[in-house]
Amino acid sequence: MAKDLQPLTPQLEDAIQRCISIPNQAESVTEEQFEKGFHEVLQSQKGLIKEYLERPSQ
Amino acid sequence: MFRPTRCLLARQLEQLELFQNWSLSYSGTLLEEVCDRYAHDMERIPAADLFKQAAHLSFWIKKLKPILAVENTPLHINELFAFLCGQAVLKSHYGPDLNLMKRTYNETLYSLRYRFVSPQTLIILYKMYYR
Repeated sequence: MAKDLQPLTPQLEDAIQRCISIPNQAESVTEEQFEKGFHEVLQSQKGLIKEYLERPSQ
Repeated sequence: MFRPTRCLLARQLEQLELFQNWSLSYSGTLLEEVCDRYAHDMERIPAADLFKQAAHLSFWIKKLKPILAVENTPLHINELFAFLCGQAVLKSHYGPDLNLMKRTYNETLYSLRYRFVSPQTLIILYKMYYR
């Protein structure tokens, strides 16, 4: 392993394994489901979004 | 296969405007291009699951930045819109609400803005967050 490469964290390694092992599976959402999802996500993350946008610049 | 249209994305931008009383300007041409590039990607991925669809949609929004930076527009609005659209694709099948810590949420948006994030990276991120 090259010196500047870091080993994967167990969490990332697990996620990669799952990505590799899950076969493609045709799925879809309708426009209505997408719109409803967008609205719900926006409402549920209101606080996080506000805090992120108002935080001091990094 | 989910097929976003320019009108559908524009309607979500209206929701986002109302959310904080922002006045957002966007390019309809760039929204159209987001949809075209996404559709082009999906043609190459047979039977893409929702994680891939969410990741590619987020990727093209963050890459093409359809929301224009005008006065008082939040700096990271395109990245936020990209992240919200990705989650909206996943919500109906993989909800309930994503319960991210503030730090993770902030780091995701920061990375979308300042780091090179490929669709493959986004697929892994969404799978970590939702499974």
